[in-house]
Amino acid sequence: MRYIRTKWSRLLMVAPFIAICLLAPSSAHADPRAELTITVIHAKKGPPFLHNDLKPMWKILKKTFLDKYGYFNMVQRRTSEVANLGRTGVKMPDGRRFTAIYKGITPNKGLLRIAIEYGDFRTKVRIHDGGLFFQAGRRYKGGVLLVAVHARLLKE
Amino acid sequence: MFGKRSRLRAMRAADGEADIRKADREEVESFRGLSEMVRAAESHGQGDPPPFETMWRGVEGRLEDATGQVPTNAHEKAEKPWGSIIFDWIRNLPGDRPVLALAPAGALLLAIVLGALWFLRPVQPSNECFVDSYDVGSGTVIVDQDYDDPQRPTVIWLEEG
Repeated sequence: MRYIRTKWSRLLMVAPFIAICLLAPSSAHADPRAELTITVIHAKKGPPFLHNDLKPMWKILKKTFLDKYGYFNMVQRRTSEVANLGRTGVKMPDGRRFTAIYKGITPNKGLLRIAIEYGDFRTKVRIHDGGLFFQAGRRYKGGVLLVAVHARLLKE
Repeated sequence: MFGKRSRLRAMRAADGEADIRKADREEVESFRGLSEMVRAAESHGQGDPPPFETMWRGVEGRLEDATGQVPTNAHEKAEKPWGSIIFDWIRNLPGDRPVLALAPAGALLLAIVLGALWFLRPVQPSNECFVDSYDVGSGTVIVDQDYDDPQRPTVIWLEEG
């Protein structure tokens, strides 16, 4: 009887550690999947133009770039669902590859970690669920290439 | 069943203060008789009060005949369902001064509608962006962002050298 009591008390003592060990890997993989949308836009000064597929983005483009450009043509768009550390990308008109990597969410605020690779350019950002940011500046056909990266979490 | 307003109208009509055509004739006659009894008692200096109890019993009897309902007393009121009691209370709430009840109710309704519109408004996601690091082989990186406007997306400019 005493042996059994000792055995059970030992089991109770190690139970929290076992629980932590069992739960730790699952929490490491708990980051939800995300949807990344990369939109490549050719912008330049000139006669006003807005590609039909860019109309939903017009308010943002106007607020961000209208003081610099009036012509916005969509070159390509790609939407991908990615898991943690998943990557997606598009081949840019200048021949280089633009890659976006989803690196999970931050533990406190739930911000999405996104890394960008474009030629020799690298950057890491954190954005809100449903947020958007631009990478811009590569020269192309008398204007520049704007790359909009939109990320949102997918509900399980 | 007569409400407070109709009874009050009948009392005023009996005293000649309101239009008798808008009041119930039986009620008016009852109140008129009561007024006359009171005046007679006051003018003759009688010590005994007029027989109010008898008069009210007569009024209630006529009410019972007219509506087929027995006038409620405290015991019956307690047995009424709560929904009915609340409904009656709300119905009688405006009384003779509907503004006192309708103005707060209108304000409450307006607040509910505005609150619903506030919660149902389309919420735009924040485009606030935190740039943790950047690196480029040649050229310059400029981070253009407006901390005062979270809707304006951040632009990471790459000025080619």
